[in-house]
Amino acid sequence: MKRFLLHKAMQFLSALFLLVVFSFAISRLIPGDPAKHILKNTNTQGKTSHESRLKRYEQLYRQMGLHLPLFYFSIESFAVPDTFHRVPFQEQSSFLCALAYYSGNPEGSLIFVKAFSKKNNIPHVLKEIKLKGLEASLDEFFMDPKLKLETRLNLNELWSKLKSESENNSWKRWMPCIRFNSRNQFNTWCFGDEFSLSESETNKGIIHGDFGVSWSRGNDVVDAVRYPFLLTMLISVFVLIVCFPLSLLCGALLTMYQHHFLAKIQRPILIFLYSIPTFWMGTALILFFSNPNMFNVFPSVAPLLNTNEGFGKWLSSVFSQPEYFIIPMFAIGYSTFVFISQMTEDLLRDEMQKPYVMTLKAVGNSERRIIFYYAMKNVLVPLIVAGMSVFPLLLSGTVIIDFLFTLPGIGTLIATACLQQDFPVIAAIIFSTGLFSILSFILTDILIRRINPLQQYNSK
Amino acid sequence: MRGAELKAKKWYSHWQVILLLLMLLISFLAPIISNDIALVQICKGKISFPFLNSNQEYFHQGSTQKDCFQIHSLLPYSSGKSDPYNMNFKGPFDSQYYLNKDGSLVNAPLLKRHFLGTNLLGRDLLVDIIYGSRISIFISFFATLLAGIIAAFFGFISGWYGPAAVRVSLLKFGLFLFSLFLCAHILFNLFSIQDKAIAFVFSSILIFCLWKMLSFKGMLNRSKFKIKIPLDQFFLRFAELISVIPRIILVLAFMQFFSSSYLSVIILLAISAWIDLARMIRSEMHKIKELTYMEAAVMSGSEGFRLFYKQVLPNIWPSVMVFLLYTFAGNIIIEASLSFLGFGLAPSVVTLGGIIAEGKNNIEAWWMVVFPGIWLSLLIFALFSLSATWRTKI
Repeated sequence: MKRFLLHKAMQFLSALFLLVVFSFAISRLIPGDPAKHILKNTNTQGKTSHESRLKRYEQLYRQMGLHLPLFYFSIESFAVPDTFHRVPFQEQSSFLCALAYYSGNPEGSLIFVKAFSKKNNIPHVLKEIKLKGLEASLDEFFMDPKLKLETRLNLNELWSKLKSESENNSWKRWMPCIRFNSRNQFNTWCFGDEFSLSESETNKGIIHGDFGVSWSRGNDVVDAVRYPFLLTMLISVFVLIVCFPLSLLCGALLTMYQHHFLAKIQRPILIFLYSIPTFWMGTALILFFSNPNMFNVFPSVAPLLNTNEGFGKWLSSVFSQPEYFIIPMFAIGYSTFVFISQMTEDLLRDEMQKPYVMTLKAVGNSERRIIFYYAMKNVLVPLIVAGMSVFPLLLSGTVIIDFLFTLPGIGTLIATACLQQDFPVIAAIIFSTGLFSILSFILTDILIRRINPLQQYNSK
Repeated sequence: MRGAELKAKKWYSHWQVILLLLMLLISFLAPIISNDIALVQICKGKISFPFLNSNQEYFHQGSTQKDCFQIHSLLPYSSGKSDPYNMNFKGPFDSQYYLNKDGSLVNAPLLKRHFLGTNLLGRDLLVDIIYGSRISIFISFFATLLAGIIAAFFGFISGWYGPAAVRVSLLKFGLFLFSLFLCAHILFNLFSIQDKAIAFVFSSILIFCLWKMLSFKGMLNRSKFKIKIPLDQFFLRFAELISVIPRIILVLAFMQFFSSSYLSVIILLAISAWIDLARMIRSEMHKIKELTYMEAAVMSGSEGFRLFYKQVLPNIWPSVMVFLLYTFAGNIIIEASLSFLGFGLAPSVVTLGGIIAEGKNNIEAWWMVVFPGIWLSLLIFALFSLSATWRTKI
């Protein structure tokens, strides 16, 4: 058992590591500049001077750790030094990298960009570079008659120098260079940054439960995700707990009355129920049960939950208004119910063909006792595995139903986060749901090991 | 009687097959079933098919409507074109209007009615459902195909090597790592700004070298120093990662990096669907790996793609087919859910999920919710029940 637990712990750690890397990649692999994105969303009140905005931008850039390299190692061209990524303006740094890559002379290109950025618009030039290539677009830039004579003389000299160097240094472009970075964004994201600017703005890392700052709202991601995540987990775990015994019962009854004439058509009916998409079931239920023209039984608006005064008040506010959660729970749960009851029936029918059932019958047990007491025990292990493996499926359903009923759960949160491209929130949601599923899988493995004596015997 | 029972059922005697084929036929013959342009037109002895080319002149030069004989489709409306006389959610039982040839507005005759009602812009719901299901089937089919190819590759490799770690000579592994590193260098740095042609040629040569190195059996393998690579474990851990995250969250998160074109939706559905199929192929591979015919095939020098195509695939085909049908249905559901949430295809494309979302926002138009949902459920039902019947036969 000790060895088994150790094995499971190692499995958990490897899955956790992969999950962390995956959610980090989701939060960073986006086009555009994250710091600029935050500034655009938060800086709405009135006029701020250009200088102060730049200062704030630089501060944010360092606070989010964007000046650091992405991972523990990076593969780059030999011509581009790693210090260029620390330039806090993404346009400037990409222009620098492009020039250094072209010329193979980092110092010269730094002087050129400094002189260039005083008078000219870098984003415009970058667009041109993407279209035509560096050399052609810069040559065209210097041929422009509107350019002032002074700047042209200054810059043209530097540019021709870089151009002449590029022919000698072209080998540098092809040389790959691997660099190892002790301080990087991934490390900061996981374990926090000790060298941050001030104590109030430290990034503690996800190991301390800090997922960073939401881009669209500007507040802490954990505060935004906590209650939606709890609500979704509450709903799906509750649905699973209610569904599982009910579907076992249904499967057992179907096996017991398998010669009844209704039992012969139950299979297509169950499959049809199973094939109704969750979102359509939810919509149809809204149409029939919260429609003033039909049956206005359940409310169709979102419940108001108390999220300000701690977990206990929140939980009581959830339980005090159950009418908001009845249709959503039905819409989430019925497909799981059908799936597990079908599976139970299949397994039980196979089980009833086995010789020990014949013996039990001959001894004089009733069929009900055989099914519920003897056969069910043998069937339970694969059923528990199936019940836990539908958990991500159940969460998927919950996401759609949340969105449909505008419950304050993960579905509504991820839909708004996707619309606003709020990547820290998306990463946090992926990480938390994944962690929950991993934990449930491993707990299932341990549980099965406890309840199934055969497995313990096999491993000894 | 016994003989009749023993006789194998023909493929068309399953009602699920008939239902599925009927729905597929309706979806793929959509331009013939519903079109506002005439299907066949005979003017002065000349036959033309105007619906194939909507830019074609409707009547030939010198011929008027009186000279021509036209055959119209069953539903005289096209997808995406609105009927100005039946706007604002006309129900299937409401009174609908039709512009007569003499320019007067009359109650619509039976053949010109909108049988399932219209939406806000006056589009025919039945026509939208047919065209929407065509797009849905098209996308899900190619997504399933792509997922099947990916799953076959990974499932075959990990099932072939099995739980035992692969032993590779250190030299070969080092060469492999080095060329992988070069490939990454090309991908991340050289492709960025310039030298695209050179980088392409260089990387394709490198990939060819990688391919050759993996299948090379001479000098490189004779090294004394060998290391173990647990390929199967890598695959299992990766599969665990993908299957642990709820599929709709995965697709929604990845949707941010893709545009909303057909191809990107197909790729997204495929990369979230292949895991279960690959696991199944892996476990089937474990079963048949030890059998005699596999040994014979390996002894006679068959390996790689040929082994998979000639020996493995025919023997696991029934269970793969069942699983593919299952994946197909799942892809249809996910595609519809995505467009229902508003994150799938572009909103100008008519999809089943999009129609249901529109109906949900206008709750008095019940037909916008009920009919597309029934059609979608029937489609998925046909696939599911077909795969269920095949599963019992295996």
